[in-house]
Amino acid sequence: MLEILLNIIFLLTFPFLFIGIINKTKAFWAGRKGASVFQPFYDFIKLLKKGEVISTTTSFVFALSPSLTFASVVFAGLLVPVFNHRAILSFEGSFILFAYILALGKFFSLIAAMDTGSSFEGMGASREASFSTLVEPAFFIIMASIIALSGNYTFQSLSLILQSSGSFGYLIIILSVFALFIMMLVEGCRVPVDDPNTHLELTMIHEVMVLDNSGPDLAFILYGSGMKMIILASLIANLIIPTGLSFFYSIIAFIGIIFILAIIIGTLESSFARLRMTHVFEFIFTMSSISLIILSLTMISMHKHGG
Amino acid sequence: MIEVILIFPLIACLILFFIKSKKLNDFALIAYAIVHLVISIALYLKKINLEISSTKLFGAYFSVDSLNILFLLILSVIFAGVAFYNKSYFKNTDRSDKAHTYYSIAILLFIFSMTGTILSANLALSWVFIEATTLASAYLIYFNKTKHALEAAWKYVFICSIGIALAFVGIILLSIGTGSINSLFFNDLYINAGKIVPFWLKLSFVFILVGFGTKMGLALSMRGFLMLILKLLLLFQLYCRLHY
Amino acid sequence: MVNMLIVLFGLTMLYMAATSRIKAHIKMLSFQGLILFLILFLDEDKTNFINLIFLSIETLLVKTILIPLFLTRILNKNEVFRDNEPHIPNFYSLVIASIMLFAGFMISSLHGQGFENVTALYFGVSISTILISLFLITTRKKILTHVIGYIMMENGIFLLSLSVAKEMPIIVSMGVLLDIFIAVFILGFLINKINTAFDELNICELCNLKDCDCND
Repeated sequence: MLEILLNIIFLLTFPFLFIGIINKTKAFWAGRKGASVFQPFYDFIKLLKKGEVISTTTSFVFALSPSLTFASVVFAGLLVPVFNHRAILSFEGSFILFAYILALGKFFSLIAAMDTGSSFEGMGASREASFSTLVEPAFFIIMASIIALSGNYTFQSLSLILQSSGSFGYLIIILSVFALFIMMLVEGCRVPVDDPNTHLELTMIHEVMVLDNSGPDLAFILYGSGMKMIILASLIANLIIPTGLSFFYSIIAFIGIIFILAIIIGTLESSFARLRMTHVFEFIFTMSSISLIILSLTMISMHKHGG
Repeated sequence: MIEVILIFPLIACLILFFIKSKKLNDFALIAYAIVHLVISIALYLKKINLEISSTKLFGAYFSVDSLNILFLLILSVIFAGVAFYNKSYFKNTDRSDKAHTYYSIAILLFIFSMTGTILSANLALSWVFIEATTLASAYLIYFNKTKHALEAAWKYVFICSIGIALAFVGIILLSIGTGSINSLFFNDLYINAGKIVPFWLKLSFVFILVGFGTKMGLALSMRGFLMLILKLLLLFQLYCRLHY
Repeated sequence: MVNMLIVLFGLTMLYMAATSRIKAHIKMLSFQGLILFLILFLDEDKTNFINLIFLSIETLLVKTILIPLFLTRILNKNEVFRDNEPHIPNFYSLVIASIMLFAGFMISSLHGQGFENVTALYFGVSISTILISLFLITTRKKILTHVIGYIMMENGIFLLSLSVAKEMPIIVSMGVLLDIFIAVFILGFLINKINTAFDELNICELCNLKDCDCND
């Protein structure tokens, strides 16, 4: 019971902290003091108090989609295990539901962007769609390999790799962490895939999709994108943390890894520029290549152990 | 016998390097051609009569058997022709003595490497000698130092290098297939031929075929047709050995 | 640990296939030399001590330092920095390279006859490295990239020869010989001549001599 409560508190409060730490790291690298780590939370409250301006060219889809996207992200968050415990909704094959619920949310944000009739938003929507297209099969290949290795069909298999794969276990974990990190950069729309601070319309990808939203809708969109990053970060943390740890230490390790990931993302944003559009596709395709390598390593490992 | 045919060109190269004169160059080439021809005929006759098959000096690394001697004879005959033709080929060009000396040294080294490949009893040693032929003949191609010659030399060297690299992959695959037999001597491979895993043998044959084939099929040589024939014979012999 | 290094070697091949900057290629070459040096040290039951010293010096010196230094000098002298638009765009190059890497792994995990006495991972990554290098040689346009592709193929062959090094150490030494041969010959000699004779290091210039037309 306590674990479920902690899980929900983590899911609801940590997105703000995550984005806050990213911004603080960027400020540190730029030599500034930066806003406080709780600033995204204050922004959220501020946006909730404002009124909304809705364009007259839009239909019900535009009004519906931010809530739907947010709901899908929260539901996906319920499927992911945190703190070394089972997920709140854990059943066999849940990774398929996870991927497609996130895809449903993204689909609605895409069609809402196209609903406004602005060509900029349509351009951003098409770019965002192509990125997600490249990421999805790679994610499935990685999850399928990990599940084949550990024999467990839920997300618990992420923690159980080391027990069932022998010498390739560490290698597969490192490669999966790297691949899921690329996925986190894509889904969270961070550099080098997409720059969240750019104001030039030709270079915006995700920001341009939410250009017309305001007030509470915008608040929930920002909250939702932070939560998506937290969810993928907890998948990575599940891979890294070993299973035998006691509950208290696993909480500390989990939160530590999430902070470290936030700092890494902030450092990457300060050091790199967004890649040229053709190079972004190559970057994302690297995730698929790594997933193929993981698949083949799994097959080698299973051959060796007589799978 | 075999020692003479292999050490003679090395000594001749040293002598030619220090004494640079056109007459000496021609003389050295013709002398080597005659020595080569005489020795190969002698080996052929001895082989028929007495079955001598290895040398005293180099041990088991070089040997003459019934496959070798055929190619050695062909090489001798062709080289005799080339050596005699060489004299009049050079009468019409006025290159300096130094260039002529380097040219003769290159030809001597080339024939030396060819002979080494034919006579060697170890697969790895053959491969090393084939590398040496690439080196020697590349200089011969670039001899005229024109733009065309440079282009031909670059293409030749690059394609040959890729060829021998692929052949080397084939040799490695063969040694994977032979497992516990840890030598690449042809004799050992013949004796233990039944123990080689067929999958690796076939795979290595394909790689060696492609590798030496690219090296062989090159018709861009500015030296003309003769070198092509020589290479053809040489490499055909290697196929025969491997596809035993 | 050695497995990680071998997979890292495979990943550098993917990076090579995706980029057209020649400086990045050269950095990856020296990185590959470093990886081979580490593999040589960490898998220490392969050869005896003297052979190990010779091989490690060669790997560290020639592969990691000398050849990239030569190439960088040629790069700066000719001011060629990027490969032109290759025949196959970079993205599809990357796709094909990863399919080849995957195929190499698949082949090495086959449970067929004779695969028992070869270490699986070495063989897969080596064969795919050789194939990817041949692919890069055929689809890129500059001579320098061809030479870099050839050196990558040699690195792959070196890795393959490490897998039989225990039984036949002569083969690894032969691989080293090939390496030095190429370094001295192709890089030192012919590239300089080609610089002075042709204007650009583009293979489109080398089109005067074609097959089956004897120009003598």
